[in-house]
Amino acid sequence: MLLKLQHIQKSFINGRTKRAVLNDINMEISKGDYIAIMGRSGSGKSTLLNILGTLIPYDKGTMIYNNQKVTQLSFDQRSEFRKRHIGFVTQQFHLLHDRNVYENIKLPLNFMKLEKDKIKKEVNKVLEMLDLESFQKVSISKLSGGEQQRVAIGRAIVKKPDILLVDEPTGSLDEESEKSILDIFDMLHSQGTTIVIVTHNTAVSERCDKNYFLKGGKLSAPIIY
Amino acid sequence: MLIKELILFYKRNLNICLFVYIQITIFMVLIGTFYSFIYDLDFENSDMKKMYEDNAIYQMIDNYVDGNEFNKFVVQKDSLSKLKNFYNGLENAESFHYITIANQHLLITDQSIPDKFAYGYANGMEVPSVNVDNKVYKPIKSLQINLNGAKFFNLKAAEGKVWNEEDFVIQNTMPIILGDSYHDIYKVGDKLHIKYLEKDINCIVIGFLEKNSKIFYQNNLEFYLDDYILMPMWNYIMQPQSEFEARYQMMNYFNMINGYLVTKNNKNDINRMMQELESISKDASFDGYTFIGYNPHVKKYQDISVILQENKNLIKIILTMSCILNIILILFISYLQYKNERYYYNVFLIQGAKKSFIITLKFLEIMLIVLAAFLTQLYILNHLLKIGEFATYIKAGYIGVFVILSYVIFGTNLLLNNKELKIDKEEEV
Ligand SMILES: Nc1ncnc2c1ncn2[C@@H]1O[C@H](COP(=O)(O)OP(=O)(O)OP(=O)(O)O)[C@@H](O)[C@H]1O
Ligand SMILES: [Mg+2]
Repeated sequence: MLLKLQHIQKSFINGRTKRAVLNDINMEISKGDYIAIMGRSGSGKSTLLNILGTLIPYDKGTMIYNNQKVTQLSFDQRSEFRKRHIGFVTQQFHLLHDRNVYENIKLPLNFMKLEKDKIKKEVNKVLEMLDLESFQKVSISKLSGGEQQRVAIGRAIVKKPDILLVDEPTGSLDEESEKSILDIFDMLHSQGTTIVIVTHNTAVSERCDKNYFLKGGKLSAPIIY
Repeated sequence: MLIKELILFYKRNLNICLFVYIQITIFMVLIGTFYSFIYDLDFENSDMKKMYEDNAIYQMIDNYVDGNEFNKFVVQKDSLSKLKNFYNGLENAESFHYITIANQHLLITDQSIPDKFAYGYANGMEVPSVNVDNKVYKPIKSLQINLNGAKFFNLKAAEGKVWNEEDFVIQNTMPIILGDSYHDIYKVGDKLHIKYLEKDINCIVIGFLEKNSKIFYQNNLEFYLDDYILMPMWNYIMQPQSEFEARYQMMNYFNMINGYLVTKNNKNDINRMMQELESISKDASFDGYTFIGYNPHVKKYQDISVILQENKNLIKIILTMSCILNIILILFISYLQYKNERYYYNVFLIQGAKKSFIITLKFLEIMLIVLAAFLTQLYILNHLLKIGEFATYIKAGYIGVFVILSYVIFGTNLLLNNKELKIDKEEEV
């Protein structure tokens, strides 16, 4: 068992009203899993993914990683956890527009204090894998949506994370780009990467081994293919 | 990595950084200028104002500017003793202080003294050498002051000492005091041989004045003494033994009866002064003087002093306003900046950056700008405006520290205090 969520609760306070978004979430992620979390817009998919990625804290419950409790961590501890274990592809990519593709993919390695040669090797490997070699000197704003998505994936996998969290990878892509992106996930999965994808697109969930549904703040039992 | 991120930060925020840099520089220069201005005002207040504000200063000149009149007076047998009596009356007056200053130059054989000390040099004239008895002399700027004058202007020695009462009694060697610029040329204890009003006098240097020592003289409220040799105005009590000595004493006393009468600035004291002056004149049977009355330049100084005093409050208000404005502006800019930059920091945090990395980055960002501004203001104040003082730099330093602290604390607090990294909402990409 890689990651386990037990009775996770999360609510947001908007002005004076408090709204529960996640209510008693239970979930298990094993090494090599290929998971899709489905749900309607506003159902809390991103919130759940952000909790998995320790980007936001939760109100109640327990999160267990590698059989160790990682209940409410401090700010810096969460950062450290993300750095070591989590690769995150956000809904809006969050690429840095003041530098080129190469520098964007390299960013996580900057925080890991690796040797220069090693960094170069890892980044080049990813560029090759994602077919981005010819783009490496191009600045982000000149790329298409699909290309930006690929850079975001590259940045997430360059440090070889234990879990790859992907938020809505096909939101604004045409069919062809969608297919090429999904092929990348298939390939990463075949290489043994643990992947959790949040989506409302069945074309995505079809490829995954386990499908969860999020509704009314609760997660359904997984459908395993 | 830190340095690389720093460079990228300046690249993407070039305009705003330039603006902040200029803003802080202006702020610092403003504070520096105003501070040194107010500092100057306080300085004037303490020294000059005390000297001139409470006192009424009247000027007196002799009536023998015209050559004919002069000759008619000198040939009188008792002319010298009349002058002496008149002067002694002035000096010992009870209702006023009598100050006399003359700028009779002296002659020195030492030709190596730089021209700036030469008499007439400031007027742009070529310095003439003077030939007396086959010896070549250089005329040197000098002032003669009586004891009252030395006391009134509160002359202070930076090295050695200033005169005391005994120094105004005639003796073999004349104790002289040198202006600050003479430091490179003479030292305390040096003996000088000079010619003054054609008489040979042996002098000894007893002290150097503080730099920028100044007196009120020749319509100038700030007559600087740095390039001058100061001689005590000796009162020659004994009768002259020769024709030469008589002429020498006569010249001296004509210098000495031109001067200033200082009394307290109220009707009573001024009346008493007038009466005493009249009786001194009567006793000495000398009435060849003109009383110019209240010195117009002192009046002007007093007017200026009032204006400065009033404006000082205005300046303080302007200063405070501009401080507040600047602080608001700087805070506002750091807020805008934080909003712009939050996206980048959030991405760093998603990728595993620590708090300390963000804080260090924020600190360096503003530090370098403030440092550049500080150096610029140092240059402007020091080299362009030439008003730099250590105290001013300290003030600018305070501003710098303030800006850095507020930027870092304000920025990182906004950034890190919200536990939620709102990465999917309200982000402009
Ligand atoms: N930081 C926040 N503050 C307040 N409310 C929030 C915050 N983040 C999310 N919410 C609310 O929580 C609910 C779930 O949001 P979430 O982004 O998880 O939905 P989602 O399933 O990802 O939707 P979508 O498919 O549109 O991306 C929404 O109603 C949203 O408005
Ligand atoms: Mg979402």
